[in-house]
Amino acid sequence: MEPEPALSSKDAPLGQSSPSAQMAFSNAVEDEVVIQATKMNKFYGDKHILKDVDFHVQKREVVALIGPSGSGKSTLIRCLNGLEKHTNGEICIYGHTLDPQMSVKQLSYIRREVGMVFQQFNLFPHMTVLQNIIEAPMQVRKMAKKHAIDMAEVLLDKVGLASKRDVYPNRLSGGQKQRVAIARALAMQPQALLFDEPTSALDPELVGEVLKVMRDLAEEGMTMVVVTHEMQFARDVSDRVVFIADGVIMEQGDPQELFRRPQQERTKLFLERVLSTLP
Amino acid sequence: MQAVLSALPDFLQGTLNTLIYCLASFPIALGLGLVLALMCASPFVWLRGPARFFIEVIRGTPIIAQILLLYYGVGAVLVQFDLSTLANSWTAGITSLALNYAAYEAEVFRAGLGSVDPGQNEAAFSLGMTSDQSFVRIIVPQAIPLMIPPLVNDFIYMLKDSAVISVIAGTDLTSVMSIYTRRYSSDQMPFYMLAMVLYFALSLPIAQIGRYFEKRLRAAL
Ligand SMILES: Nc1ncnc2c1ncn2[C@@H]1O[C@H](COP(=O)(O)OP(=O)(O)OP(=O)(O)O)[C@@H](O)[C@H]1O
Ligand SMILES: [Mg+2]
Repeated sequence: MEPEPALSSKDAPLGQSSPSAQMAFSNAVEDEVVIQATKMNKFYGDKHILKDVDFHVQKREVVALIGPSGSGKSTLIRCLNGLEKHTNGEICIYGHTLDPQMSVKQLSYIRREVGMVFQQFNLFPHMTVLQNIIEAPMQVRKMAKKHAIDMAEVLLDKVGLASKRDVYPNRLSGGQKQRVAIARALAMQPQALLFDEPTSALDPELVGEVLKVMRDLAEEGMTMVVVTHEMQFARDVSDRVVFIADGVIMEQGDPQELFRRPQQERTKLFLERVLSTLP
Repeated sequence: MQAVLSALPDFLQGTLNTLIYCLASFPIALGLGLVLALMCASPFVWLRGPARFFIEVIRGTPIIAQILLLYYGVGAVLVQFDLSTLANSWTAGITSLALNYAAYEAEVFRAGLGSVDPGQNEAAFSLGMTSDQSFVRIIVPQAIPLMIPPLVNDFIYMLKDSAVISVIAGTDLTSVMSIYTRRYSSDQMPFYMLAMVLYFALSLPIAQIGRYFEKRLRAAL
C-alpha cells in the first residue's frame, strides 16, 4: 500500500495555520523550505532502507521524527548532513545540493549550516568542555580564540553549565554531556540542528534538563529535526510530527491532530504502544 | 672476574651502541610505519597494494635474512655506485631495523587509529571539520595513549632484536659479547651473563617510562 504523498514541492500548501497569523511570534514557522529531500532512497547493499522519502523542513520549524526501531529515522537525518550517503534522490540544504559523491571538504559547507547532536553525545574526551566548544569555531570558522571563548561562555551559561567550563567530559553526567554537545553544535552558529535520540542514552531523571534546553531553543526559533521517543516532547514542542515505518513516511501533520486521530493503521498501532505512558 | 672487569668498558660501549642503533632506527620506523599505515587506509589500490606487500614480506621473512641481504646485497650495489662510505654495519644495521620495525609499527598505528570510536569522526565532521582536521585534532590525540604500550613494547623488542647486527660484525652489545666469548672460549658464561644484565638494564627503565606516560595521557579518557 502506498503511503500518503508527503509535502514535497516548495510551494505546496502547508496544512498549518497561515504564516501571517503566526508572524507576530519570533518562533513562528516561516513559509520557506530550508531542508528538503525529494524521492530519496537509501540502500545498504540490497537492503532498501529509505524508500522514496519526501521530507522537508521549513525555517524555524521543529519537526519530530518518530517511528519504530529500525524504521530508518537515524539513517534519514544522517543523510541530511551527509554522514550517510543517500543512494539516489535529491537533498537540498539551505540552497546547497547535497550530492552523495561530495568529499568531506565539500560537505563542510553544508555541515556548518546544520549541526548534529548524537544519542551517545560524542564529546571529545581529550578536551575540556570549553575546548570541545571552541574547537570547531576556531578550526572551521577560523574564529579568533578570544572571541570563541567569549561565545562559548555565553553558550555554557545558556545550557546551565558555566561552572563546568574547564572540566573533562568524563566528569560530567549524561545530561550534562548532552547539554555540552548542544552548546558545541550551537557554537558553529548553524541555521538548523539535527537531534538523533538525544535523550535515549540518559537516565530518566536526566532527560528533563536536556529537553528543557531543546525547548528553549525551539522557543527562540531554532529550526530543528528531532528523532525522539519522547512523545510528550513531540506533542508539546514540535510543530509537525513525521511518522516513519519500514523506511516509508507513513503520515505526518500537526502533533495534536496526529496523536488524536492517526489516519494509518501502522501509526495507530505505534502510537497506542508509545502513548500509553503519556499524561 | 678480572677478565670481566677489564671487558666492562667495551661492554658498556656496546650497550651504548645498541642504544644508538635503536634510537636512530625507531624514529625512522615510526615515520615510515605511519606512512605505511596511511597508505594501507587509502582508497587507492596503487597505494594500498605496495604497502601491504611490503608489510607482509617484512613480517614473513627472518630479520637475519633481511640484514644479510641489506649488508651484502645492497652494500655491493652501493660500492658499484662509489658510495662505499655508506656500506658499513652501521647503515645496514639501522636500515634493516628501521625497515623491519616500520612494518610492525604500521600495524600498531592501524590498530590504534582504528580503535578510536567512529562517533568521534562523525562529531568532528558534523561540526564541519575536514578529514585532516579531524585526524590531527580529534583522532590522533585519542589514539596516542592507546598506542604507547605497544610502541614501548616494540622498542624493547628492538633493543633485543638489534643483537642480529652481530652477524654483520657490528659494534652493538651482542657483537662485543661475541668477541669476548670467542676470546675466552673456556669461560664464556660470565660474558653472556654480563650482556644479559646490560640488556635488562636498558629495557627496564624504558618500560617504566612508557607506563608513566601512558598513565598521564590516559587520565582524561
Ligand atoms: N551500516 C549499516 N549497514 C547495514 N544496515 C544498516 C546499517 N545501518 C543501519 N542499517 C539498517 O537500516 C535500518 C534502519 O536503521 P536506523 O538506524 O536508521 O533505524 P532507526 O529508526 O534509527 O532505529 P532506532 O530507533 O533503533 O535507532 C535498520 O534495519 C538497520 O538494521
Ligand atoms: Mg536510530
